[in-house]
Amino acid sequence: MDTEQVAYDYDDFIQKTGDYDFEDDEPLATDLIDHEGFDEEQLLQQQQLFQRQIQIQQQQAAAQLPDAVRNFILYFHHCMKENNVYDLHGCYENSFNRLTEKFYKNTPWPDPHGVVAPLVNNDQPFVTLYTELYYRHLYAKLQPNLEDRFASYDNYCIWFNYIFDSSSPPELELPTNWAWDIIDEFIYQFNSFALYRSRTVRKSHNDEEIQQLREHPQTWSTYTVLNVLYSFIQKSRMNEQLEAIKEGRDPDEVAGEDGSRPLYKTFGYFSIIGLLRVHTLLGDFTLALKTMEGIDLSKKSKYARVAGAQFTTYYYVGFCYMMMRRYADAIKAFSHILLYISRTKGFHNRSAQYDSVTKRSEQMYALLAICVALCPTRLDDSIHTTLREKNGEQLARMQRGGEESLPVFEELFSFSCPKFMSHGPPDYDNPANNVDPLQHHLKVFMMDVKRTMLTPTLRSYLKLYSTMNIEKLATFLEMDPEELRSGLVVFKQKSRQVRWTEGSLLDGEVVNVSDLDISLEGDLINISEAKIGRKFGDWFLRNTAKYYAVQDTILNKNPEKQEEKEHKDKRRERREKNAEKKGNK
Amino acid sequence: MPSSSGSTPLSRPPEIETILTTLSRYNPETTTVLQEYVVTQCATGSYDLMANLALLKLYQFNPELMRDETVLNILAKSLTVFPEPDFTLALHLLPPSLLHQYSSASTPNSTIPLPPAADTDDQLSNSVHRLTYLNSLLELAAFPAFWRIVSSDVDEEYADLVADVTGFEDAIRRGITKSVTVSMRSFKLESGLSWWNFTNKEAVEQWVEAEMPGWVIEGESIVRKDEEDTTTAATSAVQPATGKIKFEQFSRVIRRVYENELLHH
Repeated sequence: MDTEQVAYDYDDFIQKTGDYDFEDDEPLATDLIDHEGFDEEQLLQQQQLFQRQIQIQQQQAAAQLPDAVRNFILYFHHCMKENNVYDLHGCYENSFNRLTEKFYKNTPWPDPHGVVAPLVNNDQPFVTLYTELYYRHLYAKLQPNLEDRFASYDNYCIWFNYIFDSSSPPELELPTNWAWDIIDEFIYQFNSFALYRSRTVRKSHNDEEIQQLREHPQTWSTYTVLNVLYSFIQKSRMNEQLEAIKEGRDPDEVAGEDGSRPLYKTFGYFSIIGLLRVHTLLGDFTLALKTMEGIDLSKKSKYARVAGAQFTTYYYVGFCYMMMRRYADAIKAFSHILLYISRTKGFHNRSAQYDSVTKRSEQMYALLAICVALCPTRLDDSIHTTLREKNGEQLARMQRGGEESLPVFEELFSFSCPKFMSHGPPDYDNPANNVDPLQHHLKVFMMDVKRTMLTPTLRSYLKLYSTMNIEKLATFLEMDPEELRSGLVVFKQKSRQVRWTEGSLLDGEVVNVSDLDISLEGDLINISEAKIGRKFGDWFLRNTAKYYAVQDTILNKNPEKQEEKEHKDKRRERREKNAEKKGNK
Repeated sequence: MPSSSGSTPLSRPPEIETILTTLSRYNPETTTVLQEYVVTQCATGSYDLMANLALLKLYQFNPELMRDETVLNILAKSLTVFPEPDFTLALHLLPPSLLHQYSSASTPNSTIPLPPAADTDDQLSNSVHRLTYLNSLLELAAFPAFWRIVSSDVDEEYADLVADVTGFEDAIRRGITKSVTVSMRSFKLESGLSWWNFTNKEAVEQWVEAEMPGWVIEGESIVRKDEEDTTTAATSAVQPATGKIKFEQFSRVIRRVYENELLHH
């Protein structure tokens, strides 16, 4: 096929959905098979015939491609060769998804090697990229079997080797969200493989698969994944670049030759987030946060525009904080991203990742509920409302404390935690010895939770008094006074956490995060509670302005000017609110 | 800064720093260096969370290299920095099978759990269970129970587990002091006996003098004397219902009234 033909707006061709009707199969040329005897020449002839038949089959398979799909592939290839990032983005973001919806909802895309490769003259980089998309689609919509998993791994190896080829680094430039998706998918398939492997060993009796798994320990090994991620970071000198940006210097100075290529830069940055994810999956929360130390989350970098990366980052950062008992920081991280999601809701509806975004946000609400139960804090109003809608009942049960709250904690944790995995291959010979990592982490987490079971009850009593005698409280709670004393020490201890103020993610100082504070004087408990005074004036003014707006809408005065005004008012309100908050500190 | 903030402790030698900041933290051969470092920490009383976690991670990746003794020492060491969450962080990095069968029932009418139930087949598991139980006691501020178990005659395993860590008792006492100073303004002298595991009042008094500046002994109580008051709840003092509103905030209302006036005249 002459690829030069492809310089047109192929969107027009989306309209054409005609399938080719293909001619009947050419019958096998049985008359050439001599049943009398073989000789070299005939053998050769048969081989040639066989090859020709394969070619014909391939052509027919290619011919079975809907026109739109074939054109898409050719156009796609063209964009890649021309390094037309803008159109490539369009192909990737819009057309691929549209065609999937139309033709390949539940079936795989055309086979990369059999069908697509001949179409593009076996242009290896393109085929590799296409294969990545092919497998991503397969994992998402269908059930990949062991063979598929091995094959997609091999494909990633080819792709990464291609990128890391230092003798001729590719000139290719991929759109940022595609680069993120590649890293994201890579880690997802790695995670998925580990889960598949442990499930196979534990449940299925498919000895053949187990044998294959045993024989290929290198496939989807943790070392490979870590190697890829670290190599990207090192090649692009990402950490040095980030440090330079922080100090206000030009990152290109420290980037080195490779680091200044956009492809490496993008992959380097996203690999850091990839490492955050991998470390968390293996249970190393401190290292996960430490790896992120170059990235300043409050700054808006150009990578922050990739929504998927933002969600992943905040989810994992929040989760790590939670596991390190820094609940206040976790709440902040989750609130931030959930607010972002709710504000950009309309925007995401049409994206193909809508389902995964929804699932993530539900998980984050669940984690937020856990954190709020363990560390009561005021939340932003809209988040609070949504939280009550989604997890209100569970939150109430957790906040009541006591034995009944424990199953709720377990349920929410299991639902929303990352899919933990163990590093190495499972014990093939003694399947019973393999403990699910999720259970392990859940158990350790619950040990912490169990120690705070008394807290909610204590809080409810302490809120009622400003001083109280330990003996008296012990009688109320039907506890031994000495144990109560211990309980109060624990309560005080738990309300002091490390909280981030500035610097890298792991930094922080110990502050009191509870609104209720106690101090013991011999047998007397002194209690102080922070009350936030109601600001009546502000509330009235704000609502007066709102009523004016309502009035105007009803009288339908000047609709355009009205919208502008509302916009400005909202912005001003927000500014004022922030200024007040700062002023009152 | 707390140790889990990942800041570099002063006692960390440069070669450890190199290991932790480069890819050699994944090199199986560094286990020997890091193991030696754990021994040093136990002997000198220093403590390095990141290095210990890095070693546990290496064990995760190379289970055949895991040394029981080192793992237990790391856990014992992280007990000494309680109330930091270091012990929990270390548990997360251990092989799941170690903690799989851990359970400690609670007695009715008491918040203090019982020691872990019957032993499993694996010696390492048992030791990990015991250390986890000790951690629970500390976290629940059940200090008398903690000392009882650690120096128990019934089960000497506990004492064995912490024997390698020099200065273990004092380190725990310091942790307890931290908890106490944070939550109390004064308490009875004789409580100090059971909390710090001292046998006589003089020892308590010595401890207070040495380790608790700003606290004095008044008769039968130990009282905080300095002005630092930790009872400040998160959002500071009660804010009165404000009567102060800036004039600018009225601007919208005034403008609106003005416009209305104009329009209607």
